[in-house]
Amino acid sequence: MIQGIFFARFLPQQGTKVVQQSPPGCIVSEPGVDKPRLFDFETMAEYIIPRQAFCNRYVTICDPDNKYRILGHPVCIQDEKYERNEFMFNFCIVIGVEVDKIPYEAVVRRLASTFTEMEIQNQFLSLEGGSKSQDRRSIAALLEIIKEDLNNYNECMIPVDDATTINMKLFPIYRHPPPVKSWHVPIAKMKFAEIIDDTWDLTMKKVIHEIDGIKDVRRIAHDADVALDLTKIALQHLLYYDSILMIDLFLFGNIYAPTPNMVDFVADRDGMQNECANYVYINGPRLSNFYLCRLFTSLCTSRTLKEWIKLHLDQSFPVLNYVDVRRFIQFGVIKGLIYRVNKYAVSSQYLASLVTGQSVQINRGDVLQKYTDGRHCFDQITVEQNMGDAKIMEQLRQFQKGDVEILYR
Amino acid sequence: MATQDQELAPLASQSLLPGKQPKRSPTLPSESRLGNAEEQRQKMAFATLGNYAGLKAIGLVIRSKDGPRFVFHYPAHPSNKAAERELRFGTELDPEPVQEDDLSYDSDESDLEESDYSALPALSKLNITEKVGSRKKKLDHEDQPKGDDHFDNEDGEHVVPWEHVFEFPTTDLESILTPSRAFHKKKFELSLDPLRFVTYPMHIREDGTWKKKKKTRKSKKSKKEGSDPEGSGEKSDEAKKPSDNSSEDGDDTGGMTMFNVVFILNLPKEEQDQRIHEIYEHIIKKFNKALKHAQASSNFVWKESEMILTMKEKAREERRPMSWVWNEILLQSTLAGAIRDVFLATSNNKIATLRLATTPPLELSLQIPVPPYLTSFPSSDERAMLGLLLTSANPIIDEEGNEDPTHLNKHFALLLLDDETKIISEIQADNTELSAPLIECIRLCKPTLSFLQVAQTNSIEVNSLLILAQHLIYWRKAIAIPPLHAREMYIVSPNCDSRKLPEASVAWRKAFPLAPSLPGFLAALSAAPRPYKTFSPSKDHRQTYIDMLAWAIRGGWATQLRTVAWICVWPEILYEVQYQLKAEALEKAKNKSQTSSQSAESTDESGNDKKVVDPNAPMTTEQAAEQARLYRLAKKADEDAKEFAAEFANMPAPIATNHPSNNSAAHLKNMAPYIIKDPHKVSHEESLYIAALGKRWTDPKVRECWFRFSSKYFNGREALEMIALQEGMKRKETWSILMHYQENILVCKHW
Repeated sequence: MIQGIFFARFLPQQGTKVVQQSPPGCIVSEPGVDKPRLFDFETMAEYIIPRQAFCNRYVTICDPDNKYRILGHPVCIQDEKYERNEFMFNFCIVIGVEVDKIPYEAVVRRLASTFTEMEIQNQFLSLEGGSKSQDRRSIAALLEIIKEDLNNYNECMIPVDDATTINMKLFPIYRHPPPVKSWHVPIAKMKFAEIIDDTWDLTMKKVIHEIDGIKDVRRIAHDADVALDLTKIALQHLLYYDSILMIDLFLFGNIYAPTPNMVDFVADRDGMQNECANYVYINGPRLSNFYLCRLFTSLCTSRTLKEWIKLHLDQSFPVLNYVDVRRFIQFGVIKGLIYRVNKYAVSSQYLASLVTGQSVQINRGDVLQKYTDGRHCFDQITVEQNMGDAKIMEQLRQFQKGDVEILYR
Repeated sequence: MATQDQELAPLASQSLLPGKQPKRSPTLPSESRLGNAEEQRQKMAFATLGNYAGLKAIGLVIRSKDGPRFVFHYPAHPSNKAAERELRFGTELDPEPVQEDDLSYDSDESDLEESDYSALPALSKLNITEKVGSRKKKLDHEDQPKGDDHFDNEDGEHVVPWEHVFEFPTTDLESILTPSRAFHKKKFELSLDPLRFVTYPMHIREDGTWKKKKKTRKSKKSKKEGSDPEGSGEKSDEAKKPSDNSSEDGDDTGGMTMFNVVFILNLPKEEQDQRIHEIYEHIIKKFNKALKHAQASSNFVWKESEMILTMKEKAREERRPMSWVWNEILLQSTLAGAIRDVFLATSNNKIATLRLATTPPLELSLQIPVPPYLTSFPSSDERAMLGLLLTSANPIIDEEGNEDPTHLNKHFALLLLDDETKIISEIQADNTELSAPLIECIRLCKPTLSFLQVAQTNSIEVNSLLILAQHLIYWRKAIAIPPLHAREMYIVSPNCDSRKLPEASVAWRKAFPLAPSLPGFLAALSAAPRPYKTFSPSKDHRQTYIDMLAWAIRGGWATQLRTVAWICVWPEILYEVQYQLKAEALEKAKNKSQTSSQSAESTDESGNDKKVVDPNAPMTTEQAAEQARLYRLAKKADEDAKEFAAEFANMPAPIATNHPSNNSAAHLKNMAPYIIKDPHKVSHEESLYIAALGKRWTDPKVRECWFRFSSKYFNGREALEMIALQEGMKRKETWSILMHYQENILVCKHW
C-alpha cells in the first residue's frame, strides 16, 4: 500500500524541494491541508537527492521513527543547458516499514528511467509548469493516478503524452523453491484442467497432464516424452507459484516415523482429524477418528508400511479395508505429522577413500559405489539406476563383506 | 480468485500481488505449520545468518569540528558479492545442489534482476551525457583504486587507496552516513543498491557533553560548555582553546558531536529484513551503545578516532601502501581491533569478545544467538541446517509450558560440545573471576547426571550450578539434554549431516579405537530402536558406550527417541461411566419425585409468598392456563423418566474385564475409543474416566501413581522418560508401573 508518492527536485537556489506530492500535504505542508505529514522532510532531504556519487541507483531510507520507508531512485542528468550543468530529481514512493518493499522496486526504477528518458528528449520535467503543457498530463495528476491505480489494482497504464505511456505492475517475488529431485512426486494443489488453455506452453501442458500424485518426476518425464531437465524446470515453475507440492515416492516398503507435531493431530487442532478422515476413509465405511490417531502413532522408525499393516492386521484391524494408505501417508507428510525415514548405504572403504583420495576397486559393484557415501538415499538409486530395493541390496552384497552398512535416517 | 486463472499463463506466469493463494483442489490437505514450527522458522532465519551473514564491512564515521570524517573501515578491501546461501533444503544431503543461478526459471524472472536494470536504456544514456558534460568525471571507474598503492590519475590527482570504500569515495560516504540528531539512538537504515547500511547513530548530549554531569570538579567546565547551546557554538569554543583542556582530564572531544559504527550488508532480497533485524538487535545496537559508554567514561571514541585519522593523514603524505597502514592501525588502536573482531566473529557465526582500552577496561561479548538444536522437523522448503541436533526435549520450558530462556530445567544434564580438557584450558586462559567455578562445574557435570543429581551428590546449590551451566550454554561450550541413560533408546537423527561422514569416521576411530566403525555404530542404532544398553557387549563396556553416545549426540548424529502418551479410554470404560451416570440420574430423579410430591405444597407456599399481594383472588384465565401448562410439563417429565428408567433397565450391566481393549460385548460394538487430549484440563466426564480407570489398579502403588502421573504426563507433550527424574523415582520402578497402564494409554515414539 503506497502511503505517499512525490516528485522531488534539486533547485540550485532552494536546494532539495518537493515539487509534487500525493496525497496532498503528505510530505511537505500545503496550504489548505491540515493533515499531519508522514515524516519530517528536512531530515530526509539529503537522502532524497543525495550527493552525485549516490545518484542513478536505487536508494531506500527509513524515517527516524522507523515507521515509513522511502523508495527512490535519484537521477542526475548532466548537461550544459542546465543551471550548474546538472538536473537532479527523484520520484519516491513511501510505504510502511513492515510492507514488502520488493514489488515496488521495479516501479521506482521504471519511473526513474521513463522520466529520465522524457527529460532527455523534451525536458518534460525541467519545463514542468511552463507554457506548453496543454497536450500532456501534469506530473501531479500522474502521481495521483499511479498511486491510486497501484493501490487499487496493483497495476497502472497511463498515457503521459501522445508518444509515451507508463505501464507498471506490482509483481510479487516469492522465495526460491527447493530444487526438484527426479525421485520426488509432485501433487497438484489446484485444478489445472480448469485453468489451462491453448496459450500455455506445450511442455508445461504435457508435464501437467502427467501429474497425478503418484508418478515420480522421472516417470513424468518419461510418460510425457519430455527431457528430464525440462520437466524439472516446468515443475520448478509450478512450485514457485505454489501450485504443486513435492512429496516422496510412495512404496509399501517405505518407513515413516512420527514427529512431535503428532500432539496437534491427537488434540485435533484445526479440525485436522476430520480433514484427514475425509481424505483417507475412502475404501470402506468411515471409522472413528480414534483409529487415525492409532494408525499414526504406531508408525515408527524401524517399521516398513508392510510391517505396519501386518501389525494392525494381527490386532484384527484390517487397515486396507478402510484406509487408503497412500493418501493417509500423504496427509501425514504434508501436514508434517510424520516424516519419511530414508535408507542410505555407507561403505567404510569408500568413505576412507574419500578422505585419502585413493580409489577402491570393487568387482561389479562399481555402479553403486558412488552412492555409498551416505548422501544418496535409495530412492535416488532406484530412480537413477532403475533398480528396486531388493536389487540394490543384492548388488551391495558384491561389496566386501561387512563393508557396507545400511543407515536409516 | 477469478483473475488467478488467466494469471497463470505458463512459464511467464505471474500472479497478482496478494496472490499466492492458488485454488486448492478440495481433496488435498493443506499444508500447515504445526507446533512450534513457525517459531522455529524465525530462529532458523538467524541461525543461518551466521554463516552467510552477508556482512561486507564495518565502518566508523564521526562528525567532529572538521565536519564528518570517515575514520576507519574493515576489511580494507571489502568484497561486494552478495551473501552466499545454504542451497540445500529440509534434510537433503545432495553433495552438489543445483546452483540457483543455473536454474533457468531464474532467467525468466530476470526482468526483476539487477542485471537488467542497468540495461535500462535511459539510465545507460546518463553515462554518455556525463561524458559530454563539461565537468570532470571525477568518479569514473579508472579512478577507483583497486589495489594497495597510491597513484596519480590522468588529471594528476593523488588517489589514495583507502579513500574509496566499495565504489564510493569516503568523502561522500562520510556525509551521507552522519545522520542528523533526529536519528540519535534510532535505527538508521539506508540502502544504496545493492548495499544496505545499517546503524544506530550516537549523538552528543543536548548539553554538549558525552556524559551526564556529575557533581565533581568538572562542573565548572561543563557549565562553560553548557552555556553554548548549539554545536556550532561549541565548535568555536573548542577552536578558540584547542588544547588547553585536552589530555590531562581526557575530555577533549575534538568537537565530536556524533559517531556511528556502520554495518554494511549485502543480502538476498527475500531474507533482508529478517536478517537485518537480527544483526541490528544483537550486534549493531549493542556495539554502538558500548562505544557510547566508552566515549562517555573516557572519551574513547574520539581519542581512537583522532589517532587513526592522524595515522592515515601521515600515511597519505608518505604514500604508504594500504595494507601497511591498516596493519599499523589495527596494532595500535583497540577500537579498530574491536571493529575487526566484531566483523570476523559476526561473519563467521562466532561470539565476539571485546575489551576496549578504556579506564576501567570495558568488556563485552556480542553474538547472534544460534539455537543449540531444532525442535521440529525442517520442512522441504526451509533452508537446511544439517548437523544440528533434532530433539523435542527443550530445557528452557518452564512449569507453565512457556519458553523462558532464563529458566533451565534442573532435570536436564550438561553435554559439553568439545573436548573437556580443551574447554577447561580455554576458560583458564580467559582467567576471569568466573573461571574457577566454571571449571568446577565442567568437572562435576556429566551427561548422565541431571543438574539436580549433580548438586545433590556434591551438596552444592542447584541454582548456582544452573547459572554456571547457562553461562556455558550461552558461550556455546555446552548444551542441555535429557540425561543419557543406558535404558533409553537412541536413534540416528534425521537431520544428521552425512556429508561429514568421511572425516567424522576418522575422528571417531581416533576417539574410540576399539569400537565398531562410525557407520556400523550408526547403522545399528538406526536399524531398530531398542534400549541403548543392548548395544554394549558387556557391562564393562557401558562407560565407553555412553561416551560414544555423547560423542554422537554432540555431533548431531544421534538423538533420543522419546515416548509420549495419552490416556485412551476403551468402550468398556466409557460404557461403565455412562451407565453409572445414568444410574445416578435415575436415582436423583426418583428422590426428586418423592421430595417434589412432598414439597408440592411448600412450593405452592413459596409461590404464594411471591404473590402475597392478593392471596384470595379468584383464579384468572391466565393462572388457569399456567396451571394447565405446568401439569402438562409434569406429565411429560414423568413419562420421560419412565421411559428413561425402562431404557436403563434394558441396558446390560457393565462388566469389567481384564482387557478392556478386547472386550467385544455386543453393546460396545458401536462405541469408539476415546482419547483424553489434556488430562490437566478435563471435563467432568473425562475425570470420571480417569477415576474409573484408577479403580481398576489393584496395587495401591500403581493406583496412586496413576492419579499422580495421568494429569502431569499423559498429555502427548511430556516424555515418559522424564518421569523418573521429575518424580525422584527409580527408572526401573517407573517403567514397571507404566507397564501396568500400557493397555490404557496410547503411546507415540518420536525424537
